[in-house]
Amino acid sequence: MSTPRVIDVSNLPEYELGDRALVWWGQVGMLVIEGTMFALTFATYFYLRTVAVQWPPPTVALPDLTLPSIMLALLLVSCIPMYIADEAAKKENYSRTIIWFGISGVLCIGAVVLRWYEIGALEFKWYSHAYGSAVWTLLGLHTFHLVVSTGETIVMMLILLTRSRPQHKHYLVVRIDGLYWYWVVAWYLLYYVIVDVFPHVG
Amino acid sequence: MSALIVAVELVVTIFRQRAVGMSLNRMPLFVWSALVMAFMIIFAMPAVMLASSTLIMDRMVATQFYNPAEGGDAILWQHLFWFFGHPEVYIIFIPATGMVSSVIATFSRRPDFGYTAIVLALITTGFLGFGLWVHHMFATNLPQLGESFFTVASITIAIPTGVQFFCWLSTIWHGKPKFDTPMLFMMGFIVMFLIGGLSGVMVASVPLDLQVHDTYFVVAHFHYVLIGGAVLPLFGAIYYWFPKVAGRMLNEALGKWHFALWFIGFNVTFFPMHILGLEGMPRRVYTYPAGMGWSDPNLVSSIGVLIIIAGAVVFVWNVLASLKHGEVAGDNPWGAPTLEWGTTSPPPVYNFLHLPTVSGRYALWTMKPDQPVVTGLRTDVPQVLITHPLDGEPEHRETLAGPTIWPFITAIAITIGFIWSIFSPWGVPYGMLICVPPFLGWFWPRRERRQPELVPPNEYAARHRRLEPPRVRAG
Repeated sequence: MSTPRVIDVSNLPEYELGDRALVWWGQVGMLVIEGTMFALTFATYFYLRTVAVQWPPPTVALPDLTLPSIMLALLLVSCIPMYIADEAAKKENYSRTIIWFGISGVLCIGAVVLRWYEIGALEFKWYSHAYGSAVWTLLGLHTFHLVVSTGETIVMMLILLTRSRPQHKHYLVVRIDGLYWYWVVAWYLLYYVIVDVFPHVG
Repeated sequence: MSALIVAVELVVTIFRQRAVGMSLNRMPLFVWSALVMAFMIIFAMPAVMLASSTLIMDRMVATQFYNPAEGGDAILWQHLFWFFGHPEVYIIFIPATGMVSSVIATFSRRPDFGYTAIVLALITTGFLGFGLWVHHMFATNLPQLGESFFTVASITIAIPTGVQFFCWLSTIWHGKPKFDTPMLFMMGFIVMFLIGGLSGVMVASVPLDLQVHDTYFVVAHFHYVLIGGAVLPLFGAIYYWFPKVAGRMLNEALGKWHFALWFIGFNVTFFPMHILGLEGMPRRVYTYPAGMGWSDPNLVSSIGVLIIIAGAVVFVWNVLASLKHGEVAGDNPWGAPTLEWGTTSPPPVYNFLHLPTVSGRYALWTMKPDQPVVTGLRTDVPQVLITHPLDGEPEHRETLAGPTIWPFITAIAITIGFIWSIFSPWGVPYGMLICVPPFLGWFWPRRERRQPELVPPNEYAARHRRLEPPRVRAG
């Protein structure tokens, strides 16, 4: 038997730092699952609205826009350092990654603290009525992801700080953490428009 | 949650880790069915997560989702549940159709008729499966316009399944079919699922559904769909792939007995239920008044169950006996076309010493004499080849994580949290907290450990296995 023809792949790269990496695909899968959760929770909100006589219920004042607006602004601004860190991680630039990732980490923690006050400012409880249940569940789901994404940023920052030459995969995780954060911000934008602004409009 | 994670793993593996040369339009039909199923899981399962979370919150922390007194609505539960529950039926059924396509091609000894039509039918079923959950709720006083829409959607989904049926029949018609046990089970599937599908088209219509809602007619319908549509193909698939897993064949004679007992027992058990349902016998009852005329069909049903049990005993006996004494299978006992039959039975942990390449839809049937293999992956770390999601050309290499105990500890922590949350709402926050340390342990980077080369390069040639074209066994 003659020697078989071979396709030699030893010259192909051993890692990818972007949308070709397996972990990136896995992360997108997670975001699609949790996005479906969000979409269905919003669907539940709208469903309950269709069976309600008045929405929000008569005992509830229209949502106060101050805190949510500050929150939205903070989240949108935090995307800028996250994006710069993301681009720096793509080029494996250590100092640039660490500085901008650090700044976005501080903004993430700020958002978590602000969320504490945002929840505290709600004038109704989850057990008050169906509207309360829907809003608390939406905000709770978002808070969960806000905290997890912030925690991931802090842990990743510690990992970066404890080594002088990070491996390629650490830069990849910075990029994936960024993707997660943009997603968290996008869902808050939707929450802000649907739950906080819509009742004022109509 | 576990199902969702596995679904993502399947999607990523199917898109990124195919054999070199296996473009999307060369993927085996079973892989296509697994892909469609995984996507359906990703979009359907969150609904049941939300439904059960909101229900337990109603019970534990007094949210008002399902309490009409405070603006909630009980019908919301049915919507959320069936938005998961109906796609779930297709999550069960679609992989079974992939098994049917695989077995029918192998035993008809020709490629599946209408490959593209079958793939399109699978995808169409995947989409339509999300548009008919309300047909479970026709008895809940919904607007008639909505009901009509869901009737149409429910009838429409019979079309892609019909397309698959005609493709299978054409494959058998134009092939040289051999009726070994796996093929017999697929024949059973075709007949039984046809009956279940037709009674499904009947109950898709609102007036008929209102008549037979919550009667034994529905019980008969979904047993024909699920036992006919999923359990029979699963048995066929076990007979088909058992030699690959165990290295030994299941006994043919016992297999045919198993099939005969199941086919007869299944029909004796469930066919009378159609009649019972039309006569008005309600489901979910443990007994019924004497003198309704329901006794004889129920007795026949009970006799059928005994026949089914006898078939199951034959099957279990067959598996246990064949594991030890079955005929040695060899690499490819059925002369099958797909790649898994190109390695030894059972396969080594690394599947192939060198990754194989593919030059057609039926890899082993379309192999060229000098079909190349892939070399150049590192052997000191668990490295895999990532290929292009569409055309299957090599793209880059990636090193998978090594073995670690942390995922197991994480699983235990998650289990504790979930069980705790059944009894107290505090199980949720505390359960999340106890998950944090194992997650950190899992993700905290370890030093890259290099292991010695497992196979010295000069031994490659000696241990190298080439793919061999299938040889159909005599007899």
